[in-house]
Amino acid sequence: MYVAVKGGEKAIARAHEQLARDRRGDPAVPEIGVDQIQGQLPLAVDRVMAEGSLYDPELAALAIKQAAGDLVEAIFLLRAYRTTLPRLGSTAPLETGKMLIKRRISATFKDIPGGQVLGPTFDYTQRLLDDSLLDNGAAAGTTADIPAAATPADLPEPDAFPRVLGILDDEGLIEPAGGHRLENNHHDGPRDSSPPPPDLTREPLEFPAGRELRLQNLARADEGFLLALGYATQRGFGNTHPFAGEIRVGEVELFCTPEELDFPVAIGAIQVTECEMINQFHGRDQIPPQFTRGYGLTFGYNERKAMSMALVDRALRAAELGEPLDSPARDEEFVLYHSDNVEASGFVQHLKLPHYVDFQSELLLVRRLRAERDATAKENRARDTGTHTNPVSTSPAADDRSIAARERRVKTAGGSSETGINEFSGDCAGKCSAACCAECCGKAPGQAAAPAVEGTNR
Amino acid sequence: MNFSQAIKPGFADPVHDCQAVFRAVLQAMSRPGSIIDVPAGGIIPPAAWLSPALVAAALTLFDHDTPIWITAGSHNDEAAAHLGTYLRFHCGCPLSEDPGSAAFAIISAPRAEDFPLPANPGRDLDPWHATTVMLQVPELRGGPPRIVAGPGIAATHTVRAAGLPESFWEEIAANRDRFPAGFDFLLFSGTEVLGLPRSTVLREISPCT
Amino acid sequence: MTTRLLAAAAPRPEKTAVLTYNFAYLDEQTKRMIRRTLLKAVAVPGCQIPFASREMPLPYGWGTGGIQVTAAVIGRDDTLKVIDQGADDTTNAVAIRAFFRRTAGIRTTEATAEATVIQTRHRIPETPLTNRQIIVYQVPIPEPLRWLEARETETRRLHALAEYGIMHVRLYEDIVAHGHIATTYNYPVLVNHRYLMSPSPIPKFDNPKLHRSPALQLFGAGREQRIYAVPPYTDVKSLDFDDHPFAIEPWERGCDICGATDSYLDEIITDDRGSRIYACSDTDYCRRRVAAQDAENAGAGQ
Repeated sequence: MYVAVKGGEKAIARAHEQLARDRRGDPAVPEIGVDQIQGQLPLAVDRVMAEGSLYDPELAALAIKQAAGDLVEAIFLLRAYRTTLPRLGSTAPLETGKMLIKRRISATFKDIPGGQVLGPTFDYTQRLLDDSLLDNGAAAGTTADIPAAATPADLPEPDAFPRVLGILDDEGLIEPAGGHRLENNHHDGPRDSSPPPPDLTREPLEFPAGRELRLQNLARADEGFLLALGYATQRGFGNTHPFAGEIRVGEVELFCTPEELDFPVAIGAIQVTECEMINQFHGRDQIPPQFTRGYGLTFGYNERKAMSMALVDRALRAAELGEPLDSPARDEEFVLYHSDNVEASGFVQHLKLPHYVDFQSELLLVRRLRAERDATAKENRARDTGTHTNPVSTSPAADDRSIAARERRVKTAGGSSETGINEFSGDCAGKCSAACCAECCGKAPGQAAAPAVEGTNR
Repeated sequence: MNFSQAIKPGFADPVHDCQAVFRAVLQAMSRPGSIIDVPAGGIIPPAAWLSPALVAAALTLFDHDTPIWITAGSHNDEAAAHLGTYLRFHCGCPLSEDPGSAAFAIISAPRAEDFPLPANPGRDLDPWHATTVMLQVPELRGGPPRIVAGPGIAATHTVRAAGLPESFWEEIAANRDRFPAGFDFLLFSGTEVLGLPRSTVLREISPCT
Repeated sequence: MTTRLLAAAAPRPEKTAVLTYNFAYLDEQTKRMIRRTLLKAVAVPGCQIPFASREMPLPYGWGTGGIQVTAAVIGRDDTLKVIDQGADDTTNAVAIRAFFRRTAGIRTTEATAEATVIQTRHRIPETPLTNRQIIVYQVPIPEPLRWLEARETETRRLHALAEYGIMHVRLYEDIVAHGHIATTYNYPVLVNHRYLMSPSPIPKFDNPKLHRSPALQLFGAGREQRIYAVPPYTDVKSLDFDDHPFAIEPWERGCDICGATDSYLDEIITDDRGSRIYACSDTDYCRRRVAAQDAENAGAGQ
């Protein structure tokens, strides 16, 4: 007898074995260590932490190793682990103004207080493959040639780097962080007394989302998705007239206030990349002309992501600033619902799962439609050649009832908003009301006649 | 009275006890009018007059995200405060003075003036924001019969919960007009629960013809 | 100044300890949140209730909604059956069953009648469900109006008003174009005369089983963050028109293995000349019928 071939536990076990073999690669080559990934692929680790929404370089490196370098898969691993962690508390807002600066640049002024600090960047490298790295840098010089990193003690004080946008703010030419400046200098941004921000990971996403929720979504959004959307705004699909006001990369401290203490305690430091875009705005109604802001922040060092995020954040403020909602980057539902690569990757790839039951029903339908079409064509041919005298049956399109009339009829038949509540229809053969049969007929409720099921197969 | 005397213990095995209690409450909500046993075995209510089933359901469903509104009904305010302290300790749930913002309301001995409820019945746009109402009644059997029907009920069901004012049944009737907004009720007595979700409708008792 | 000191001496966390997970994977806070959502879903039959879906160790689109619902419901005394396409041994069903065995250590079964909780993708078992059972559907797109109206803000308004005219128009356009409704799976239903609901992508052959089922039916959509429910004995009507009543797929043949004429069939291609056989999609149903026939034949032979 034929037995349909199906997955089965054995096949899955074999697949897992092959995966492990492929991940390990040639056993003659030493296995890569999580510490090596963490130390030598730091930008991959940073991306996985950012989109995985979990700051833990060691676990991110582990995820990259386990995912054989597939970063989206690694992000997924980290997210799934993150779900299981208890929430112990929340930190005070990050003070990126007090960042221990590693890199800090502004494109809007030639020089700024504190200066332009290039730090480690690919920006001015010639993109030529360096074959010295093929033999682990032996040819072009040893690691000893690379100067040692500055220790924190060598770095300038954080106070030496005032925010570039703060300079414009002092002049009243840019909206305050968190909201635009109104005519009489009030602004509607978040204040200290505002309620705690919503939490994307604890509450379902609802619309309109508000900027806090949007920024949370963008911070863990797929880098490629944000890059493409940000790029699209530059090409005219929701232009925001951006200038890179300030980009800073470095370490910031985390503070939290335990319930039993009433002062904040430092619990550690994380590296972040922050981008503040300055965007042109001509004003309207109560809002005078001023510069507006787009904001991007990510875990680790990732300027591409932070800048894209800032562009998209500003584009998503279109409704607030009275700009037309005419492009994908300005469409809150479009952006927020499709930004997450864990969601997107899962749903795109779920098409690999068996769908043969639904496909079977489509197969039957297409065969039936084809048969009907062929029959109609045959009848038409017969009529055209005069061998068939009966009129061809009219299609429902020729029916005198319009769609609207039909819709009205269906609506009055049931399902209108007034109906609301179930009208019970299982009364006992019309002899007494449904309500009383259990009371006085002695019949168990289940014995009441069930209403007819249309199209039942039983 | 010191702290350890004031706060009675919660579940012995929270993971599995909560699961079992939840299944009882789910059963009650999906089979309205049926009396369901709540496995509240290990629970010692913070006051002798409290239904162990109600306390078990509270420990199962409440946490930081669920503001609770407690009204003592015919019990005194001190009793209500005592229950509040207990729930705050075990569940971390905020106690709310504002019934309109409560996720759950507890009425430990319903009176006529408790209804119509000042709590939030939700809106057609977001009916899930409605307050779920937990009532303690003296008895789930032996009260005057009420016939209910609707989803979860094969034909009709007779509810004989005691100690409910007529205004409570008017609230149930009002659910029909405001559906899909409305209040979902859980009636507790001893170690039993009976659900009357907003989809349940009242039937008149009419003589057989 | 504290910034500098602490950053310089940023404490290196200890080597990560062995990772451990809670019963049925989810933490208790998440279970409570899902349980509260389930109670609301049961109270408003067919209404999609938003919930803060969590990332699961299986991909979105592969049953994360169903898994979260099952994890919030299931207990040590339960017996779980998992099917995909009606079969217990399809890859995804195997993976999900293994997940619950591993994280909850519960009993699993392939026998529909023995299960207390059944998680399914794309089918309802042929064996009628009972009032002791809960069936959990995996749902990819919970919004039945989604392909007619992409915006959540708009579809939510339509549900609030019970304004489902666009769906009737859609179905009627099928009739105009094809002479009958050309929706074969994920066929929209009206629950309790109020909410338009997606039954998940089951073939419409299964739609009649939704109607007044004695079992509690729960639907979970993880990626879309929605849970909905159909309580037992609830009216579930497949949309239709007076002159085009709802009808299920007709089969011109029975199962080639067990001979059943009342079950949904898979068409299986057996060679490269296009030969094919038809077999029950519900593998448990088919196996049981074959076993019963074998027993009968053995009895007759003696």
